[in-house]
Amino acid sequence: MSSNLKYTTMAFHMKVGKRLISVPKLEFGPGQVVGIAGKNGAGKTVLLRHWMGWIENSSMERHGLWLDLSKPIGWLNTRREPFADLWVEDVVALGIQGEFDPQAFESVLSEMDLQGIRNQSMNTISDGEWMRMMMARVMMQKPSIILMDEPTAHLDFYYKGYWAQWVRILSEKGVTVICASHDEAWLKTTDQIVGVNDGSVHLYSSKDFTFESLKNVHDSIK
Amino acid sequence: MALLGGGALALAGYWMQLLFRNPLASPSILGVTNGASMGVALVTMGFSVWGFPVWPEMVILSSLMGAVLILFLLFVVRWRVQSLTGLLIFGVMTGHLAGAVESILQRWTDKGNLSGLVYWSMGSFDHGTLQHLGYLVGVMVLSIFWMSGKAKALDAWSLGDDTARSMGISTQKISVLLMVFAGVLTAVVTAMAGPIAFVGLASSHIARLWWKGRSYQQLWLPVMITGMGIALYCDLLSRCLGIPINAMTSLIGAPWVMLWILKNKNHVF
Repeated sequence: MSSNLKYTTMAFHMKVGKRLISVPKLEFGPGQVVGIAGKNGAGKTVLLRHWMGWIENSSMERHGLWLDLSKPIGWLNTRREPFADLWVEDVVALGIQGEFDPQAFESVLSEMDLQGIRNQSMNTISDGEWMRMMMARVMMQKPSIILMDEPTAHLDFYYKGYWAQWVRILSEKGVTVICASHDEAWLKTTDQIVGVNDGSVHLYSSKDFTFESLKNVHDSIK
Repeated sequence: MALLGGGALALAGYWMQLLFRNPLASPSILGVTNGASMGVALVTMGFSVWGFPVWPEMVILSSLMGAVLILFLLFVVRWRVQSLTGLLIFGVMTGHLAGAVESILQRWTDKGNLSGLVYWSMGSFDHGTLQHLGYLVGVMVLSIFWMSGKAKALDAWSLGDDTARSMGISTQKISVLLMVFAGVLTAVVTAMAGPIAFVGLASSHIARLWWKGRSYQQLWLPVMITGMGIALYCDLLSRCLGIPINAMTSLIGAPWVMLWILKNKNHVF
């Protein structure tokens, strides 16, 4: 899971509600941890979905988002899908790219501590186990970049720490991590922060970032 | 005949549950069966009024059009109606509409036709001819092979649109496939044996009780076998007791679903 890929996103305009937000060209280096900050409804999710190529936008080509599309892009979703009913190991196996490598599969399972529940239905496991299962699936994909949308919003203190540690390990392996988050403490530990404001998207340095620095005038108290 | 019909309905129900990501989705609940029988009623009555002969292919085709029409309607509103409960109610309502059209047709037709249609709507695995059976086997083999090739994509699809798309799966293609095959199987069985409820709904849940595997590759065969078993059992019972098969599946199926909902208090529908 190592890479030295640089990811460059194109500049485009995105529609959030009735507002049009201009997104500049951004560059993310290998192993960089990037936070996306913004108030509720500011457009963090919309930005992520544009970058994943899930929203059609006339100001950019549909899939021409990342410089290198030959490498898989990981997407971590930790929210429960109530209907899905697979075994834990089935879900992890979905991440397999190309030929099946049983050794890599077992090592990911043990790394995420899923061996004990591998033959359990995903409906019977806890939220923390669910998160670990989804992490293992993403790891099987061996992506060089992972995008996430508030993955820890519903998790407890312990699993927030677990997740942050996981992100750090990925980053040390050279994986670029981009994550929308409301967690100010975590945002401070990132390499850079993409702030989604009312009309524009700005790059902030994480050292002096506070939520007050986001220019969201539309909902300020008058 | 009962075996094949039950297996087909079970698969159609399983695929519809996957398509709508809802354990309560099934041909009979979402009104697809009603759509199919509306199609059959339209053709058999309309044609007899004008004095055209009614071929079995016409019946199958009209049933297919009715079923796919309802499924397509449901699928279009799926993107507008975000809540699954809303979608289920929408399906029940389209079923009612199709039922209304059918009963208007029944009122207008002559007595000979009416009794034929009423007997047909009670359901029976006796009406089918060898020709019917041929069609059914054909579409079953085709759809099973096609879907088995998509087993991994179907598992990914069940994890939600975003997760599936992040793995490079075309969610549009999968949903169209599920819709078409579920519609075709429902339509062919309905054209041949009348509207039969509950087999499609219950089979996948009962299969999960006795079979451990959960992925599509592991589950489709047990689901089909369960559907075959239920249909055969109900068919035998209905013959012994002299109860129409549609009533039989409802008599057994409805209390079972009620119990199942009461037991699964925490399940999100």
